[in-house]
Amino acid sequence: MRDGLLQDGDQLPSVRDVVTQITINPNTVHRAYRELEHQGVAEGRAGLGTFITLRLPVAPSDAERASLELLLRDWVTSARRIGLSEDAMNDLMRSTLRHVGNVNT
Amino acid sequence: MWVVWRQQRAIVLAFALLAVVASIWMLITGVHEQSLWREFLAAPCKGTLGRCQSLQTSIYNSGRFDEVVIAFGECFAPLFALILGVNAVAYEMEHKTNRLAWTQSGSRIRWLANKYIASVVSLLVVLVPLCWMFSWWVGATHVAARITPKVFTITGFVEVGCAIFCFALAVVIGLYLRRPGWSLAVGLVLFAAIFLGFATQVLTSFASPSVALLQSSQESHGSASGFYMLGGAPADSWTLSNGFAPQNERGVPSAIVLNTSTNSMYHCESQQTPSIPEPTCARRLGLRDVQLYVPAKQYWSLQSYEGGFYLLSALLLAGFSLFAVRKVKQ
Amino acid sequence: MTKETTVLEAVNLGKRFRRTWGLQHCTLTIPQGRVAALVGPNGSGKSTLLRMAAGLSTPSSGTLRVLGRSPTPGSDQLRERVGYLDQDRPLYKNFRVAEMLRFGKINNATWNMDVAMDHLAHLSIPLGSRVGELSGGQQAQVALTLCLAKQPELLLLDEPAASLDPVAREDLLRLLMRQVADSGSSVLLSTHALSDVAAICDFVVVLARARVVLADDTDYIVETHRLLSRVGEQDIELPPGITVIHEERNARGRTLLVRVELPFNDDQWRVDRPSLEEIVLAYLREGAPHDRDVSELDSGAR
Repeated sequence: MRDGLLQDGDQLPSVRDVVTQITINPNTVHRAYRELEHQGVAEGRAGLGTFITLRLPVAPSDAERASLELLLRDWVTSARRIGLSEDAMNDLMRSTLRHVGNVNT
Repeated sequence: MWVVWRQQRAIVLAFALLAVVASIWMLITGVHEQSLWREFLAAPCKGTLGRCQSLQTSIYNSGRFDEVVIAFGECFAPLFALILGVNAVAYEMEHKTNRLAWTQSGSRIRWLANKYIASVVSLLVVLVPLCWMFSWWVGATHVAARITPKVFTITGFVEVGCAIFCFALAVVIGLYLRRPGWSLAVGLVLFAAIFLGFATQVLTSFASPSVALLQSSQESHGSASGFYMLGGAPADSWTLSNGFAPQNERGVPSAIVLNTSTNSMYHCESQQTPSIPEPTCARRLGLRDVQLYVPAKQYWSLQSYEGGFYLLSALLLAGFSLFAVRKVKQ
Repeated sequence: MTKETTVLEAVNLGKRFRRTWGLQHCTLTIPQGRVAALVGPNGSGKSTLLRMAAGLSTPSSGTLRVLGRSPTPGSDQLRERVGYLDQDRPLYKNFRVAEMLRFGKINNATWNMDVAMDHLAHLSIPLGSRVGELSGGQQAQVALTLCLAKQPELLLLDEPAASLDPVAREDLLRLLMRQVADSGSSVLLSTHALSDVAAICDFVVVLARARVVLADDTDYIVETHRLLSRVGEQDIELPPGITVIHEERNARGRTLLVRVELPFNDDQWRVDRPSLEEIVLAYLREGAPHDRDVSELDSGAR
């Protein structure tokens, strides 16, 4: 989408087509499409397929990024203080990302 | 059913072709020999005078390959059936295609039953005309009487029974040995043993023999003299044994009587000077020359006995195989 | 937690051959809709399990249920719904490809000729060639097509990717995935190299020395295993809820592949996430039965 190859309204290839071209489990494709739907990037239309529904989100401004980075530094310092290892911090980050829904739309 | 036919197609066609070739050969030689015999029998021959000699030589020459034909006939049906049976089961099991077949929707019993049906039909289609041809040929060539052991099985439906038995035998062996080569070898050995055993030991107990008397008759022409035998078993019968029996014996002499009489006869002869011992010894001991034979009219009942034995055994083997196919280890 | 339907359930399943057990104490539940890999070295019992599931051989001990039924040789109905592909990929070598399809059609009530023709056309396998003249990969494709065209609910494939070159292997696995995408069949395939099929599997069963040592969704496996490493020789007590699967010591220190039941934090260890293949390898090396009671508890609790 960032490169402009996929635009709003474009249909994503069917699960069957994906599986014909790459060696992958259809369930994985299903889940990927559902994840896109969950994030609000795509929408499934019954009987028709999965379609892109979103315009590119606005890139975050430099100021927004800087304030986020400050928050992150504080967090890392606190985490180190209570004794989390780097990998433990990564684990925590990953599981939080997974469980917290997107607020894009 | 189409699948089974497709699997055995090559074998059936090969043997059918062989049968056709054999039949053509039999047709040619049969017609030829038949005409020679007709001529021979039309004008009774005694000795080796003129036309007689050349006729006898012709008959002898034309019959050179008759033994080959008979041997072919004895081997054809069992080999055909054994190979079909080995191809049906042992071959599939060696190549694991039975695993393909047994994981389709149909059951194993149906798989095997289809093989039986298709194979028996193929065997019948090829063997019935062939045996009929043998039957005619044996008569035409006068190679032997129909009822004699040499040609008994191939002239009637016993051969068909043998074939069906061989097929079932090969199936059962194949289920356990699972190697086509070995199964064929074991099948051949087993069948040969059973066949010979039945033909020599068992069949005679189903026959009711008759007695015929042999008389010697002397003749002399000028300075030459000799004797020949008159009477004896009819030409179309199966001679069981030659020997001697007491003159006053009524009915069929038992084996013991025959043995003792024959022994005493030979004992007597060995003590005689080599002139014409037989009539004197026989007269002195009160014995006469006899032949035990099975008359031709028992042909069909004997066919039924032997044929029935093979068919019944085949049924038992088939039943067993249909039961065992479910239990066979993978 | 609603109970998922299962395609295969084995309880203490065992198969005995004359003097050895080909498979023993096999307890296993495979839920529906999975593409499950049965991994293990040669002789670990993979083929034995698949053959029993296909109804080709009968168990010596324990019970086995496939699609809810017992797969004895007599169960006609089950054979219609289950497709089996043997390791040797048996085909009638002197049949033409079209005749093999006819064989499939005759023997299966649920045969779909269009599916079969479509698969073969997609792979450019000519219908008129004799099966014996096709390459090994093409024969494998034909054999697989025979299984797929009867549209079974469960596919049992014994080493389908073995002895195929990488291109043929990819083609075969893609063919399989097309079918799964179209009909939602479940698949249980065996392999001695997980890497061959890792791309398509979402459930893994590991067999070692004729026993099941691991059987779970791949996601779950990857989530619940960690690689712990540290420098030094001393034995340190591990936090609770951790089971060591496999340990390696070298000159510098120790590495443990562990299964984690409770969240923990312990900065005496460096914690990494192992790949699925590393996890499976650790189980294969150990060959020890996994603590089955705990795994059943987990499977039920998810």
